[in-house]
Amino acid sequence: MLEIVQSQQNDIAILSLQGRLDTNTSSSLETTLVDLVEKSQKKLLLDLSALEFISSSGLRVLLMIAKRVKGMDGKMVLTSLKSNVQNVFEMAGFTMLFTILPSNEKAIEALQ
Amino acid sequence: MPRKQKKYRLKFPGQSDNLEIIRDTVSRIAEKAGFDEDNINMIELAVDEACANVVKHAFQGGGNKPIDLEIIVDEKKFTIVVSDRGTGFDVNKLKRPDMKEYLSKKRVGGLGIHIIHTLMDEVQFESVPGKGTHVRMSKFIKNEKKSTVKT
Repeated sequence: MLEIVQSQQNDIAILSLQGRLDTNTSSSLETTLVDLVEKSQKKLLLDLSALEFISSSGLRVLLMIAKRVKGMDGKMVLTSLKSNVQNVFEMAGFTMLFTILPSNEKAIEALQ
Repeated sequence: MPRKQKKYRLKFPGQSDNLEIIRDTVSRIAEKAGFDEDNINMIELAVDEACANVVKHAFQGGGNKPIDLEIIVDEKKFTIVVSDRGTGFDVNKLKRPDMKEYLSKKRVGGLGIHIIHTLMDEVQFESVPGKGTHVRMSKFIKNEKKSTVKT
């Protein structure tokens, strides 16, 4: 089960993910993010404070979107990762590819 | 006194909407074996990746075939064997991805395999094309359960 709550702060799209990002749920995140990218949304903030689990399916979606956002000269920032989610990012070497910040406030500053 | 070996045999329909139930079940057994939260999370993710591969590759998206799990717990290690009777593959062609290449270029697959190898202490794949696959993965038990002293 994954709940995606979407909001907008000026030109920044904020997505708060709650639950589990796995084989079953990653397609709904992919649909939401692809829709935003196709509408030329260049600044994305993903609040992962309530994300309890991520598998390789979720990582693949984030990697694919990060590449598309970079390709349109935009930026995606992830915030507030739980330790188990952070561990998966580190293990896969994904911390090198993403800007990961401790809070949404810091992410908004970084995106402005 | 040495811990007696315990074996659990579980069977789940090989569909992706059962992955959460599989993760939860394995987590509870890992918790009972004495693992801390970090290690339970690692075991849970490794099992998820192995079972997701069964659904996606061995069963090519779904069907009615089962995923069989055998969990063996002794005093030294926690072993999970994920078995399927799906398409199988040539294990000699199974390679862990070069993560630098994976991250810099297009997706090349194998991220789940990389994660399983990173999370678990021992990993072994046995597969026969057309017959099925066994993924055997273990994590060593390092007396993690801390006793609580009441005062």
